[in-house]
Amino acid sequence: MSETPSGSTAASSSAVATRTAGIGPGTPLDTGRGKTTVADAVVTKVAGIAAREVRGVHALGGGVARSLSSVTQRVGIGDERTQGVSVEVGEREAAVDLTVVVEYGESIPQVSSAIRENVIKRIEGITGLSVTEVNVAVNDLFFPGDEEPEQPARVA
Amino acid sequence: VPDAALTPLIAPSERVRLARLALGAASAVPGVAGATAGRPGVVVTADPTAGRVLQGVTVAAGADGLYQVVLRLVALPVPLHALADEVRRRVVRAAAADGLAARLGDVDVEIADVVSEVQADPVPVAPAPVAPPPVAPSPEVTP
Repeated sequence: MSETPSGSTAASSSAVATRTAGIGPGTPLDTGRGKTTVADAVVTKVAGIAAREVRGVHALGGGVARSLSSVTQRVGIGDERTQGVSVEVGEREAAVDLTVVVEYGESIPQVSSAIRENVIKRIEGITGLSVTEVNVAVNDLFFPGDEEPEQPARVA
Repeated sequence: VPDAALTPLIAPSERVRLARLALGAASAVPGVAGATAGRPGVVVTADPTAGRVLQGVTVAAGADGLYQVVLRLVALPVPLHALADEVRRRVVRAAAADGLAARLGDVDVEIADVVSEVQADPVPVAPAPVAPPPVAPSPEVTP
């Protein structure tokens, strides 16, 4: 995998070939007394949580995704932990695509490397899947003064 | 009143008993945060003798005469395959303790979601205490 000038990471052709093999609806593992299946949503959530644990990551998702997510969360159908995360899950392997906003001043290569390590560690530790690739796309920088000021309450 | 009148008219079937014990055994495993019927709400088993629906478990009789149990669980972020194995072990043990081991087939465990901590059911809002109406001052009776 190699870093591109925009901060994203491109996959090698061999990894892509691995990634498209064995894609299915879940990750069944037959134990002889029944199957164990881990839903794709679980892998997505674990990847999102793992990425957020890394210092220097301000948020996940693009601008549109974050705006949409804030609306869906208000009506109770969205989950912040899955925005900006896309996974492909096979029987024994998973590939993860992440879109992140990095805090200004942090080293993007170091942050993306730390994200990759943590996501692989968490997914492999929790789900037992082997992670073939973690693609990180940095689509924005966060400056400390960027946060929107809280609206003062109109009523006491 | 004779005791027989208080007992349910219909004893729970083996299928319902297996669903009950599987759900109970799974819920008792550390790392399991709960069970879910899924978004369409189809992973359920009716328990008519108790007048309820068991959420997150189905039990189906197979052609071999064994009941296949499917548990759809919400877990804490722990190693999930080890968790599923422990759930399976406890279900088998509970079925044996209830005399149903010979009827138990596969126990499929589906991890549907993970949560960072156990989410308790929302506490029902108690109705606000009703304040007694103010007592109107009794008119003074003048002689």
